[in-house]
Amino acid sequence: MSKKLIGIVLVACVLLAFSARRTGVDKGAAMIIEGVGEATGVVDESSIGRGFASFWRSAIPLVFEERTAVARIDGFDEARLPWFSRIESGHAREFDADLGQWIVSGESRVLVEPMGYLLRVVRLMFETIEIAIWGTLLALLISIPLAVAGSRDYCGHRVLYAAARAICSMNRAVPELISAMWFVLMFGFGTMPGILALGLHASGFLGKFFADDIENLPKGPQQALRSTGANPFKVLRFAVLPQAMPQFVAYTQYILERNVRTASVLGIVGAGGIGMELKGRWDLSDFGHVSTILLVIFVTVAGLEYLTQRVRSQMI
Amino acid sequence: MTMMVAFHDVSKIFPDGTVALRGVSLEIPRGAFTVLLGASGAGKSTLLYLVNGMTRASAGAVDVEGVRIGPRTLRHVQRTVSMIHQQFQLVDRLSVLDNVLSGALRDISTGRALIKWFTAEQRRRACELIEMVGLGPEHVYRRASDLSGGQQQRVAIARAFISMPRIVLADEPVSSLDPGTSEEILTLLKDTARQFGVTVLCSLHQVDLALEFADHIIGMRQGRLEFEGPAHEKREALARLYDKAEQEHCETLIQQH
Repeated sequence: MSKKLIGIVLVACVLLAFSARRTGVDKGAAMIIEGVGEATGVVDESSIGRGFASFWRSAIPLVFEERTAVARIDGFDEARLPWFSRIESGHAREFDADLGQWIVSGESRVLVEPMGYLLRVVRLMFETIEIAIWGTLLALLISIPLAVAGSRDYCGHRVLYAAARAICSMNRAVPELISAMWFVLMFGFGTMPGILALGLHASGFLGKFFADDIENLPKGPQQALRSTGANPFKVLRFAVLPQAMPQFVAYTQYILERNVRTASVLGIVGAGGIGMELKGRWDLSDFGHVSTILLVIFVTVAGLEYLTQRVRSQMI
Repeated sequence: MTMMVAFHDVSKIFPDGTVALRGVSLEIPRGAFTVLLGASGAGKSTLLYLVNGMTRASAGAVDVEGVRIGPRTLRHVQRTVSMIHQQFQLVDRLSVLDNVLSGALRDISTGRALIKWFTAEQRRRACELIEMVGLGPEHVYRRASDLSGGQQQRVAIARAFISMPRIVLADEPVSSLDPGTSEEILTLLKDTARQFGVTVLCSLHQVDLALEFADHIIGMRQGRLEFEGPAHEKREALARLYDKAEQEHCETLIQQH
């Protein structure tokens, strides 16, 4: 081993040790070791174990039911309850600011829909998928012209090429969460900021991928058509698109899948979808509800992955 | 005999310094099957590419039907020229029909091309050509990549003729095919050209095929014109085109004919 390499490794070790103190990695490592100790019975108790137990206590059971105070429902008709729902009576609670705690303020009647909350989360998940689909469509719309301009041989115009590639890099460089925050300021809370943020970011990816694809295509068929006097649009339609289509479809599928995952968290900054509900429940410390949301997100993402896998194997 | 294409002292030097053509002057007779013969690197392909504007001459000029090729006339000239390539250059994932129709792209508007809206006349002609080159109706909607090499070259011939060209350039059309298929393809090319009264300029490196099919032979060597003339007069000259090792082979072939 060369002396230079040893020197670099030593310097890196010193810098990492310094950084570990600053970032608290050393304490984290100690906690993990302690936790492993508890799991194997060497130590009686660890802070990770305590934290995990308290998380487990609050996250379970998952909350699927929706409870609404009857008094809060406009035009409530007890004779015509929603399906499978029932009415429970319990204690109405009220926060007493003087005492600084919740107190029982009287009898109350509550409408309980057994699967109400789960249905609401699923509905929000659908909204999230819709945001992802619109975001993907927007990305396609932006990225195809960028890809055509940004492929060196096909476009052949230096300024256009450089501009298209620069726009792609810029769009990729801005994380969705950041651009979503700006779009929330511009459009207000809702799905529109989410769609725009996803579309802009994904168009950077798709533009680059598509352009690279076009550059890697065999040039022969394109030249053959060009030499007959066909203009660039016709060459695009008859030689470029048919050849590049399988990769285009594969990338678009990947981006759609990725957009669903990203759209699930975009709501945290107010850009619509299931993330908004997640953030709200987290802030209220309704960890049972949070668990339900996480479960739905997990099932959706896993299911989507399985589905796209199937579609891909069908198409190729 | 009137002349279809005329090269006037044409030279071509590529940007990397390779000299492909050195002062070539020659004329291609109208309506004939002209074979460009020479070893690889003799400048055959470059000569063909000059005719349809895929390369531009470094010096000299090319006339097609009396029209000098230049920036303004290139489009006009390209309308009269089609090309058949060594590697077929079909679009793999398009159907046979679409590949043939893509030869007629210059005759429809861009808007119609984007939605593949060809005229009924063009479709009818494409189907006729597919039948004429020996492919059955079962091949019409198959992908080009599903066909054998010989079948793909048949599609390429149909693509070249759909635009009703007056000259067809064939760049080593049979060099990636086996001998039997090569004969079939060249026979097909020659018959089709004769039927439509089209001039063919075909580059080959196989002497036997050249002797069998050419009406007119042009011999090239290292970017220079070696000889030119009607095929039956040029048998002896052929041997000069190749190295010593290949000469004997050529001579035996010539004797066989």
